[in-house]
Amino acid sequence: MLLFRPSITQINNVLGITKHNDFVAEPMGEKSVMALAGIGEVLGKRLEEKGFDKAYVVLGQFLVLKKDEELFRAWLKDTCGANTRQQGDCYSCLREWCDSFL
Amino acid sequence: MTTLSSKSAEEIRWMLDDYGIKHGPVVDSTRALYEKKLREAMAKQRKTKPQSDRTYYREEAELTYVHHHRPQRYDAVSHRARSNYRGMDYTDEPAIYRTQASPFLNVSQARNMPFEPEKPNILESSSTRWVPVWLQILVFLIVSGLLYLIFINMEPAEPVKRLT
Repeated sequence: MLLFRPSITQINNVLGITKHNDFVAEPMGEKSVMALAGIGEVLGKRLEEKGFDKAYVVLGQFLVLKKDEELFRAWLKDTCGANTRQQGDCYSCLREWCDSFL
Repeated sequence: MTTLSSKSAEEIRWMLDDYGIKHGPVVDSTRALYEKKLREAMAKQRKTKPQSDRTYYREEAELTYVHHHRPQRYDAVSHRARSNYRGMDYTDEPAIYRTQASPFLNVSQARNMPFEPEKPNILESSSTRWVPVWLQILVFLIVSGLLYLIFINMEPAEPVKRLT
């Protein structure tokens, strides 16, 4: 007996699918760091405090780490305390964006 | 604790290569991350080195004699004025040459060496296990206690349950 029936939108929100697709679909321009998949309000605030206020600044860091997954994950964890899932979401989001636009 | 923060970016790059850590350019935004990775690698090397060299003999025994000094050499050399990182490797080489000159003499010395530091190191390394030993023993006692209780409670029922 299913009392809670999530909508497709809700599922997509929880899984971060829409956010990921929206980000990798177009050049990031001046998008805020919270537009990145895996980065919500809390993490976004922490990143902004460290000076990473735009998505392209995080992209810069991603590129300086040579797009390496392990390094980027470690950096993200140290900088804003992202958990494994958030690290993964952000990494795959940026990597796919780079595959399309870089 | 070596003063990694006082090293130049170039030296950090050399050290990362030495430890085989994959890395990009050492810039302001990546410096902290690489220093952390280096500290982890150095701590790991200090833990695993003395144990892994136990089974080595002749030539490797000479290496253990040399490598046992290595962790301390990093500390000593970092204080030197012109911190040419490659100099750290050079300070180790005279030790190598010495051991190679008289291999048999140093084998007996080197064999005695690893045994002594191993004992305190084994005690140290056991304290960094994932699950502490006392906890394992405690869990074991609890589980065996529970099984014993079950066993005790089953006893009176056994003679009754007979298929006749």
